Amino acid sequence: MNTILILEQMLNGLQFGLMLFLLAAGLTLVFGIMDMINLAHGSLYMVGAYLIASIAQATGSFWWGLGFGIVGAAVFGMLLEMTVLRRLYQRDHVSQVLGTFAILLMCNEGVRMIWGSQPLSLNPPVALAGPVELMSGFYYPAYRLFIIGVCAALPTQCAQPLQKRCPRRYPVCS
Amino acid sequence: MNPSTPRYTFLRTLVATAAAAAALSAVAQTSEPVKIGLLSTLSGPGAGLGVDIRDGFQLAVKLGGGKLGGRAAEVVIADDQASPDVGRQTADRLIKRDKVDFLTGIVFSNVMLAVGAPTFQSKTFYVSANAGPSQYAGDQCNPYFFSASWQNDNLHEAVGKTVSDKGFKNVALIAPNYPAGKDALTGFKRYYKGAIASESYTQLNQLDYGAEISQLRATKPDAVYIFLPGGMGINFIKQFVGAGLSKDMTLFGPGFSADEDVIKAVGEPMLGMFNTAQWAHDLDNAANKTFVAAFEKEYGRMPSLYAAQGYDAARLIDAAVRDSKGKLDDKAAVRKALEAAKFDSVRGAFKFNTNHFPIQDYYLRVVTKNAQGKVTNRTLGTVFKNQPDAYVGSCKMPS
Repeated sequence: MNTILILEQMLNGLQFGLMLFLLAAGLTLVFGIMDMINLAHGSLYMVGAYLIASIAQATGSFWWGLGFGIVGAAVFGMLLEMTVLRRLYQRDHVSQVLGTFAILLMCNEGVRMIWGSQPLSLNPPVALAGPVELMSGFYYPAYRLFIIGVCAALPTQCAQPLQKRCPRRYPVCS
Repeated sequence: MNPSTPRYTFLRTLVATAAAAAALSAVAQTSEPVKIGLLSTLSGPGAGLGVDIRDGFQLAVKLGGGKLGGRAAEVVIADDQASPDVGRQTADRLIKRDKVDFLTGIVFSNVMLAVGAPTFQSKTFYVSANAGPSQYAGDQCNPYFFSASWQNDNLHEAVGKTVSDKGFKNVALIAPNYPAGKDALTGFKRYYKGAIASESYTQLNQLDYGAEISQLRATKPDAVYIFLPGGMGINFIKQFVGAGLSKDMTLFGPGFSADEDVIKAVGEPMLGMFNTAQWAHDLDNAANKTFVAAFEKEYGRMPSLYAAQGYDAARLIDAAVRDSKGKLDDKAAVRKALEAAKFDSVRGAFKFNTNHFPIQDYYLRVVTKNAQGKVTNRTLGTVFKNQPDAYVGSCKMPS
């Protein structure tokens, strides 16, 4: 009984840690490779999360929401880069902090205007809504395993192309 | 003194002007709108509760033709963000700048306790549409505080009795770590006779219950009691079902953990959940039928108990303005009218105890599918009849 409690808490910790790692990885990559401080990094996650939740609600399918939400957030990120961020690359860090902090504030208010200040809720897909029996008597939510899987797979997939093209002068590549 | 001296004339004019001004202001007082400050939680995980209180309150004003007690009503709405600091500042603004006659709407007891002192000091009546902290029912009871909802312990006492009656002997308890969370578990334990498997206080507005759920799996209670209002309960029940615990232990909660806001977000996994409340949408009385039909028509959703409390708070203020003949500066008259509570509550019989908290019935409800196949609550029976609160004995209400 106690081993199950410890194992389950370890999985919980692993899931939460990997999720935080994934959130932070983007920020450090952009800072490490491009030497760009992007305080609006979290806003991109927020926009993605709101898109996923509202598309999933409208279509009734988690997977449609996930797909379109990721595409939508990527398009939003590209537009942001082309219109504002590109102009900040050559500036010093203080200008980057100021500029991206302004974007952060605008994103917060924009989300409040579009979606309101009440939280949206998102149900996991039916296939992942239940528990999985990992060993006899030890059930773990399938959705949390899914998060662990995605968070563990993404960095390893992204690291390879980055290492190949990474110029030596960036600290992350050496 | 010679009556014809300029000085005497001046004095006479002054007295006349003062009298005229007083008469004018008396006229203005009854024709000016009644101002209500509705300070509630309208953002964050607890927002659903505040939105329902606001909508219930405004529905009552609308059905009364935009009037409260025969005078035009002006409702000033503000968001406390579920924060005691923001709540206190905003209440200050509502009292001093907007000069509201009544304050209402607060969801969370920690906000209520922060807003209480300055409100009572300014002699503004607070009519609670939700929070009913034990402090204000007991030794800190105040002539300016009226609870149109319940005392925090009440709904939990009713669940405690139900859980004992149903023969559960080992129950795990979970509540947020804030004044109403403490009141909740105290209330539950007052009527529950069995053993307590575990007692966890979680952070207010926590959304991930992984740790609590692993603990439940390890301690194996036969029932779990949760007081997790709003987004907290929505997330807990989803995660509880997702972890596969719902087949091993029975989930109980107060009405807050199983009302329309939670049902709408969680749906079928909640079927069979027992809960208690002072109100239900299927209570058979005329006021309730009018309220439920009007709410559904106006907002296109079923009302929750929060909406019913907001509606009743407005109806209570309506009765108080009417019975004090609109003279809201006469605090004693307004207090007397509020204490009499001459309105048809949607919950049926309702009267105030000496500490300005209700004496009322509490019902057992269960989440089931109705005739149209919709998941909703059905009333099973009465748990307590004319139940007061446990703290009234220590209240010395100043007369």
